[in-house]
Amino acid sequence: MPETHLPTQYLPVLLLLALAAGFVVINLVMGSLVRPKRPSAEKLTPYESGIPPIGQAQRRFNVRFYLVSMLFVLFDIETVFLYPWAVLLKKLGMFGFVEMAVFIMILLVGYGYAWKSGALNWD
Amino acid sequence: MTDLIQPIFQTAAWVVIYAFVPSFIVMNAVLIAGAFLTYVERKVIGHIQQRPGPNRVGPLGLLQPLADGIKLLTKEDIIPAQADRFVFVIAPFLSLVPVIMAYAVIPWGEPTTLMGVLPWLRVFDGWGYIPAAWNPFPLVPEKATLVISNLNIGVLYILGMSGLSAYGIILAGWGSNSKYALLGGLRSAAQVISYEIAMGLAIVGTLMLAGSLSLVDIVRAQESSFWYVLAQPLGFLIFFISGIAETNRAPFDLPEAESEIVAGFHTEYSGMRFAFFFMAEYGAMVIISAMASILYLGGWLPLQLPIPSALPAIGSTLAVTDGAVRAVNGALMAVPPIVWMLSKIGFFLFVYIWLRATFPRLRYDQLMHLGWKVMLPLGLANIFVTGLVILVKG
Amino acid sequence: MTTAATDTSLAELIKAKCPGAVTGAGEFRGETTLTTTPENLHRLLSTLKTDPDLGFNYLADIAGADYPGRSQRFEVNYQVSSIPANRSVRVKVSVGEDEPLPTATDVWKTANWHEREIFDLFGVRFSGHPDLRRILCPDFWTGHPLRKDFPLDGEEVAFTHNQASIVPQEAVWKKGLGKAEYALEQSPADVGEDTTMVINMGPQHPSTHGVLRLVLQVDGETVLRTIPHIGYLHTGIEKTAENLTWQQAVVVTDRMDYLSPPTNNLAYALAVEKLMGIEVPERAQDIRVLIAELTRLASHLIALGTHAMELGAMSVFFYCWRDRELILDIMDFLSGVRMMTSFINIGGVRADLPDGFHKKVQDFLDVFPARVDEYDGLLTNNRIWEKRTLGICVITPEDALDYGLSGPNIRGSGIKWDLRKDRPYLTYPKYSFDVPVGKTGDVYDRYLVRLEEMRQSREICVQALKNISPRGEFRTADRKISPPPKEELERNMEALIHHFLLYTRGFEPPEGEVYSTIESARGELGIYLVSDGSNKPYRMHVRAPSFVSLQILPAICEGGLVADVIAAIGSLDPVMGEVDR
Repeated sequence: MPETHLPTQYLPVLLLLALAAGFVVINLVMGSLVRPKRPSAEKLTPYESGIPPIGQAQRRFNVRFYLVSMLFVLFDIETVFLYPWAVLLKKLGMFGFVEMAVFIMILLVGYGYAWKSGALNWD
Repeated sequence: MTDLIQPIFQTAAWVVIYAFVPSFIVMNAVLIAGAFLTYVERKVIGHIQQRPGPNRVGPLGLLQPLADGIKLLTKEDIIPAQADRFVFVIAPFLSLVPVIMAYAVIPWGEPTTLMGVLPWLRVFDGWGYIPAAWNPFPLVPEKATLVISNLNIGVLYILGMSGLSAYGIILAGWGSNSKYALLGGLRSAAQVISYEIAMGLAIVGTLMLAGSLSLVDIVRAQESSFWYVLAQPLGFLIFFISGIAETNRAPFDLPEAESEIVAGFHTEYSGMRFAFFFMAEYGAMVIISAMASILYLGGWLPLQLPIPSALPAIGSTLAVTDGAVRAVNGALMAVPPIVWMLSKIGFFLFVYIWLRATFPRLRYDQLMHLGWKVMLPLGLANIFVTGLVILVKG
Repeated sequence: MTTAATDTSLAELIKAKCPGAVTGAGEFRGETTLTTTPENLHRLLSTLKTDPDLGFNYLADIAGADYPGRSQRFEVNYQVSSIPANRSVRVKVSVGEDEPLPTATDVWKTANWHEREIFDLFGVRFSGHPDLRRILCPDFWTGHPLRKDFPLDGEEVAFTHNQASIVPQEAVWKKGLGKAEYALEQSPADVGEDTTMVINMGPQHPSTHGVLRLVLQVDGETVLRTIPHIGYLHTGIEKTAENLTWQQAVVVTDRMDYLSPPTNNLAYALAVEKLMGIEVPERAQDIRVLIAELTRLASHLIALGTHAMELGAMSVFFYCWRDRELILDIMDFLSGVRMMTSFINIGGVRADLPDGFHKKVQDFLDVFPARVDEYDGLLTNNRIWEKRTLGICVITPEDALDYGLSGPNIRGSGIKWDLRKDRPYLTYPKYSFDVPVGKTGDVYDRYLVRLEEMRQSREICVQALKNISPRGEFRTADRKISPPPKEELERNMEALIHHFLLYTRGFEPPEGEVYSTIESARGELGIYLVSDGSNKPYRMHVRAPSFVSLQILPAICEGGLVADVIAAIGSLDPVMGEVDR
């Protein structure tokens, strides 16, 4: 078997996926054979401190959470860009460093804007 | 006929030896270790809090995890009537599977002959009963690498898997259709993604030093220089703090802050499904500890003390001779690499537990503030300084 | 009460300030009572508060009473105090069954829950009250339990066999939601028009100190409204006490503030002793001081422990529990009971100290300072603890007075008001101790006040222990309430009859009413007693400090985060047994 060929490297990963999935499924199936099943109306209501819940929980929620996810996408992509650069930094030398510094600076402007406009504040 | 089947047989044997056996061993080891970790945690916290901890099931309560497992397996599985069934069922699955998969790239030690077992297997001829052409044993490697798959993008792979795990949590919160679960799920999602950035940035410093994304290569790079915690103390701190936040552990355990939102995202889960979330949490703790060991404490490398005479500044003031230090180093060298790796992981796990027993919990806005306004800028500054130093020095 | 309050010129002064409002003034056991009419009530109360010469800025309590024989059957008593001048007066008004009283909520905010309680338990309506609905009984309750004609066994208890015939659970729940949530239910919050969500915190919730229920309207994590619901632990202690003899009623007081039962005994015993004009021997008083302070330590330990655990510091909780256990051991040693001791009763304490008591207490007092320092070290300068408590849920001194807070909660806001110093009872004047106060009134200040109070209480304990001789008087010798000594019983027939009567009929205090207060671990624990000269209290009302302090919760939680609600509850330290009684 050629060791450097890409698929062979990922084969164990896929197998691990199958094993993990198998573990979860087997446990659930095994459990279903031994565990009791006696549902009742009270058991099946969602927990809300012992009081029947008012209204649904699946609803629109605060926009803050959405903002955080937008910021995440932005900065995560930045991080991903940084990875190959970091690995190759020694080869790229000062030119690469300055190049990336400029890239980060541009992002920092956005970061500063987000900070100023209060997107990073929770209240 | 034989010509056709033999390659298939060979391939199958290869898959079993190189993929199935290591995967199976690692997965089970991880799951058992995770279960045992709950015992250790309860015992350690118990002693910190001046109480014995579990001590009823088996000697010293050692069988407690087993009893818990049986109990959870036989518990009624309740799916709330108003829940989104598909999402509710898939959530624990999505939470646990990526955590197990992340273990694929963790190296546990130097390639080893397993105390001479492997070379013996390689030449095993089946006492003459297995025809040479059908003998799978020559496929056995001379030395086992103690990593399921040394991916060249190992670090990225782990970050990706831990990110996937957040899906499970947010889907659990949403699918339960319970308000406490929803709050817990949202908190968790926001927290995990916020700290994932800080964590990603902290790692960049290490990558610049090592010049590789492969975890094995990162350890090798430390072998030829020094443990990166010395060069990256700030990065190390950011990484570990973010790691605690990313695994939703105290003092960042807001998604399941029982005093505020009861049990958070897994409020509605019971039985085995609940257990999967637990396994995922403890599995992730081990991953973060293993990552911290590999990236900053030299993975499986033994601890080596500096030789006094090699330290021009303080070497002469120390009251130890070079010989004594060399002897100690030799003894440390003799400890098997995998023991080093596991002890380092154990150390970080202990810190995890210790923190949980000691600290109050942060408030939600403070947590986000710390992640976005402190960790993120510090992470960027760390990259900048590290890059500059590397370029100036060499 | 105090010398200032007994001053008859106070009644004259009030009469002059508010002409025509006071229809009568009386004095009993040093307490001034002013009578007024429903029409003049509001004018009199606002004059009492706003007039600069009077300055009665603190409404301690409102107690109702029912006299079915009278033409105006209800009596409502306002206990009003002036904190800087340290004087108090009782304003009494009689009102008929269908007659409304003007509300006092616009004068003192604390009147809100007191008036709701009287509405709930007596059926007196208050016109102009912002939110007049039942508070202790569920909304679907019929009748008013504290009326004298309310049947004692009126409630059918639901068991499995009669569950269906009583009230379908669903209907009870639906009704039990209460007006406030109906309003919330119909608000746009729930049809998805905005991002707010109504969420129930309690009664089954890990950190609502028992069965407090809060209905929160939240936007993301920000709390917009908090509506507290209490009454889940309402056991009718006042009504029960009114159907027991005076001495028997000591036992039910244990069940109110279940974290410091001996203090409840003490408050009740002092009230009855005041009513009867009995002096208790000094040694018994010293023992009571010691028990009261040990109880305060136990209570503060739980307050600190639970507060810390709710903010995530789990270990502190276990450490506090460990130390409280030592105090409970002492109580056990002393009385045979860990919690509900009933050791302090009318006339003194129940028995003399057991052998070895001094050593046991001394052992505890020796280890305790190091323990407090440990908590101090774990929390006070902890950055996360500071972040969670500094500047959170601030109570201004004005609000603290307006809401009638007391104990560590009012002292946290910087008002030095401690009944042990300001309205001395027992032998407290003998002891030297400091009264710690906070600066800003945030959660952190209330925490610090309690921490320091523990140190001060320990000082009092040390002094008290020195004062108490191992053997000596522990009860009053007054034959009215104390049984004759054993030697006499064996020889004297009259003594035997007296003993028999004392334990069957009980004793009969003179007619009258008193309001007696002590500084419990949670603040001003007041007992209002009315005697009609019979062997049972005609009316026993408890001014529960937790009940009063819980009222401020919505005000301090608004605009904060969900996590701050938890911090606020912990810092107010309510005990639901006392709130709901």
